[in-house]
Amino acid sequence: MTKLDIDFCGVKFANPLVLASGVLGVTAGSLARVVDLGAGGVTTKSLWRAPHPGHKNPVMFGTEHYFMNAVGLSDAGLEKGIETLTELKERTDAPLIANIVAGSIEDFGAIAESVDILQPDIIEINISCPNVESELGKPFACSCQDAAAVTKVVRAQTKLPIAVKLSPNVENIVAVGKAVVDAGADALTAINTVGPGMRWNIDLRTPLLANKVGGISGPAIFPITVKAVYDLHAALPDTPIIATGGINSGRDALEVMMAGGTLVGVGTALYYHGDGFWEKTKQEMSDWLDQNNFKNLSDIIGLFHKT
Amino acid sequence: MTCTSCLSHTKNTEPQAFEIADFWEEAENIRTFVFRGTLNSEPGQFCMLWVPGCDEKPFSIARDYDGEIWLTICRVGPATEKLFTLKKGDRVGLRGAFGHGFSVPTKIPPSPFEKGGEKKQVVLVGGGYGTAPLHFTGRAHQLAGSDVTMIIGARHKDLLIWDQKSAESGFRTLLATNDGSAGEKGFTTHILEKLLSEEKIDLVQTCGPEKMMKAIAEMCLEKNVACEVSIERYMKCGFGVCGQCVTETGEKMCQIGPCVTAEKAMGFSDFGNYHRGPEGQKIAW
Repeated sequence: MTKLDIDFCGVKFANPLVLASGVLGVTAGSLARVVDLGAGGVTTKSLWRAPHPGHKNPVMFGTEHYFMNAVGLSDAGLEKGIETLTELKERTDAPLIANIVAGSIEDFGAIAESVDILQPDIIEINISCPNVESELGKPFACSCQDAAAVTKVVRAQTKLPIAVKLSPNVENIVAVGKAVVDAGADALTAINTVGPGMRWNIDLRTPLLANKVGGISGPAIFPITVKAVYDLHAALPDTPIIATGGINSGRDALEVMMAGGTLVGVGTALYYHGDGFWEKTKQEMSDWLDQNNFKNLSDIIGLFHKT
Repeated sequence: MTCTSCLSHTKNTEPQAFEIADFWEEAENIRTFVFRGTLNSEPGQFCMLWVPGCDEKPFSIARDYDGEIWLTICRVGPATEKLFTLKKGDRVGLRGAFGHGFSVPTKIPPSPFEKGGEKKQVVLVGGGYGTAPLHFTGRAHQLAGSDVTMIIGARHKDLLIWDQKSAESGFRTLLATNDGSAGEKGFTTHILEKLLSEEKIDLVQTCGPEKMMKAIAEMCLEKNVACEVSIERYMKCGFGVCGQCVTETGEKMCQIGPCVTAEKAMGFSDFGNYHRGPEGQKIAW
């Protein structure tokens, strides 16, 4: 069985599957359990400095082909963030990615400074949530200047590896990727949810999400993920990518790694497959690598660009 | 996409419109709403009730058979406040049923003259509006031939719910009120303690304030009597994705619960001590 361990920004992961931000992740116990179930690493929900209520219910629903959410980045603020990260580091040795969010560029610096003290393995900057626009305005990820400015203030506060989570809802994701790498990002996360989209209940004549609009994830967006990762890797071959968005099987994970991903973010797949997804997917990946004579998982990263 | 192994999308996670067919007061600020149809639920499971334009909250199901769904709901916040202004014919959204309910017999038990045919003695303990799902549970036991005792507690007799229906359904119904205005003065736990010491009880199932359930769980574990509790945690999605309802061990109460064994519940350090609010903050019980 081919081993699946992989290096990302100098951090060792037992396998490339990491829990994406926003799924489970409310408590340290929940994140630790995901590691026990087979994840190579976990990402926290987006951490705010001050408590942030998020949107009212309904905040998510799923269909056979896609999933929608507008949780609205609910979080109890820094005190709970400290509690979660501290407890999690006691409970597991698996790499921890702390996802941070803020409403202004300055506040990104402040949350980065606080989170840096807790020394997670990686800081992921969320500048691309598509379901808080009515509250926070256009995501920073929609502008090269804004995205770079956020990266710069976070960079000034930490020596930890920084991954910037990009939005697919832009004209040129590669330009934004280059801008944040130039501003000091070590890695990229591609992609956040697509949209926002909208669905209604025709009987009640009411939007299905309380926020009216929400980000789209799940199998339907997988081709958008592959394209974004492929383009980013082509333009920035030395910048590792956490590829996330609609990965729903071991073959999907391998495909998105061959497009240029080093780690594979998993979120909505847990809705479709439940807790067994981690082990099942690792087995599928390992079997394929064995059958195709790959000794090291890292050999497949960016493989599509070499053929 | 191959969906043979997909678990969740076979469930309905989009709210469906249901008309309020009827409603009545159970007690002050506690109302039972009737909807036509079914959620194909089992006793102890819950559904999400959506008041369009307001909010969506989880409720345990008080009845789901003969083409009627009953939800017994206490007015506690903005969503239920709005719900209580709705009239017959107004529509809300329901989705579910979700979660793991109480253990109820699924097979026809042996007759009394057959081997193993002694009637099972089941005791259900409800505290306040937590009593809501227990009648449904009791009916399932009763239909399987068990003797059902229902212990219902409230602060005052005017706040007791489902007590008359329980008695009319043939359950031995024992009441406790804090002020002694009906039944025994004191707590449901006092009545249960007495029953456990005087009678052979096969199973205890309880829903209500968590401190009450913890006391019951401890009592049953000490006496080696099977026990299940229904643990309420803040729920958003209801189907295992958002992680809002996890216990401190990381287990999702919307899926492994709300009904779990006493042994399982006692393994959660938060059980009987605290729960978490909408942003994940700790709130003491």
